[in-house]
Order: sequence, then C-alpha cells, then structure tokens
Amino acid sequence: MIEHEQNFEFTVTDLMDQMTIDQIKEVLLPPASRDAIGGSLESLSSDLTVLFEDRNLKLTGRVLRLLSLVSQLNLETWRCKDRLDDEPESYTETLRHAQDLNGLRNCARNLLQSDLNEASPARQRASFFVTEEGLKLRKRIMADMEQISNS
Amino acid sequence: MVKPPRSIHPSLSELLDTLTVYQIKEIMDASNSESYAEESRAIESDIDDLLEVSDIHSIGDFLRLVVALSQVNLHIWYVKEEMQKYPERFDECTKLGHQLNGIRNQLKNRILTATQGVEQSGVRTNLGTDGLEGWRLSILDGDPG
Repeated sequence: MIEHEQNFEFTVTDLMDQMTIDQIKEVLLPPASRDAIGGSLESLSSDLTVLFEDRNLKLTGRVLRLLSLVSQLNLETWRCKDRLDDEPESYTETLRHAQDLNGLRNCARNLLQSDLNEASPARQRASFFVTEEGLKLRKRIMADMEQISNS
Repeated sequence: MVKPPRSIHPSLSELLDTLTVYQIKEIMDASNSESYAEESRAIESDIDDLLEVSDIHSIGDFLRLVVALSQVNLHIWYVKEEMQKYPERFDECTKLGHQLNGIRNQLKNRILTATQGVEQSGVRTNLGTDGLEGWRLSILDGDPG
C-alpha cells in the first residue's frame, strides 16, 4: 500500500451535514444497517471534536441554529424521496419541492462554512430554486441569517 | 419599587429544544415566520451566553445530541400532521407522539449532562417509550451520566 499525505479533506461543514444524514439513516433504514451507521456517527463525532479543538472554533447559537436547519431540511428531503415512490401521481411536484429544499440546504451550508472560517469559492455550493414557493421560502428563511452574516 | 431580577431561566437544553421547534414552524408556518425568526435570534443570544460558561467535554457528541433532538422534534411534527390528516389513526398517532416525546426528553437530559448543566428541577422525568420498536438512536446508548 502506498502511503501518501492527504491533501484534500472534508470541511467541518461537510462532516456536520453528513452527521445529520447518518442520524436520519440510523432511525429510518432497516435495523441491519444501523450498527455500521452508529460507527460512522461515532467517527464523525470524534473528528468534529478534534477539529473544533485544533482550529479553536467557537460553538455559537447561530452555528447550532444553522446545523438544526440543515438537519431538518435533510430529513424533509428524505421524506420527499419516499413520496416519489409512494405517490407517483405527484412525482414532478415532489421532485421540484425536493430541489428547492436542497437549494435552501446549500444556502445554510454556505453560511455555516462562512461562520466556521472555511469558506472558499470552490467550496461554495450552488443553490437554485425551481418554484415560486421555493424562492419565497429562501427569502423568508435565509434573509435574516444572511443579513447577520454580512453585517 | 425596584423589581427583583428574575431568578428562573431556561436551561441550555430547553433553549435548544425551543430553537429547533421554532425552526420547524418558521418553515411550515409562513404567516408567522418573522415572529419565529425574531424569537430565534433572542434564543441564539441566550445560547451564546450559556455556552460561554458550559464545559462541554465532547463537542462532537454534543452536536449529535442537537441533531437528534432537532430531527425527533420534526418526526413529532409529522406525527401530529398525520393525526390531523387521518382521524381514524388518531389513537395510534397519539401513542407514537407520546413515545417519541420520551426519546426527546432523554435527549434533553443528555444535553443537560453534556453541558454540566444538570439541576434537578430541569431534569425531564417522562422518559418512557412504552414499547416503541424500530427506533434506535445510538447517542442514547450507555450510561446517561
């Protein structure tokens, strides 16, 4: 096996996002998968603890609010994907809604990266919205947080 | 007459719980969105103050607890939606809501423990999940401390 120095690593935001997805899986996937997911959650927790300490990152109410938002948007998107199978008659509508939720999640991720001092143009997630409702949702939820971020 | 300062304040776990519920309402209830945003800003500020004096041993585990609490509250929201949508399933949904509330309270107690903020009056006692099957959150495994 060739040893090499790792040059590209996940950001703290990536790890937090993954933690929220694994938490969904731990509850909703069949029990046979859960031990592996529990192990992944432990690893994510361990890496995040180390990164917060090494980088002297400050945990704030705003970071926790953004984390909660990403966490809930991922769960709502998961539910949309379930509905794609369960309710084929509303497939397109559900898919569009899921796209909007993903756009909103990316906005929240970008703010998290900024708050955690790890933002860069390359890491910026693109967010686009495909429905009028999605645009309204974005304006409603993110305007407040982006204003504070830019002040 | 000078009024004495208030002496009872919400714990960090109560603040986080409320924040995650407002987050749901801010998305689901467009008509009152600004009100939830305003309250959330106030909660953020109080959380900042409490985090300053909290001694969190494992930030990663603390984040896991917040993620789990946030999602359990959203699952409870879904159960309440089901309850309204399907009246014939009212009893079934009521029971599931009660069971999930037990998990939610376990998570809140763990947050109190993780932040060294345990005061007996703040500890939740309604922890039972009454035979709930299929739900496992590994962050609740082990000694509750």
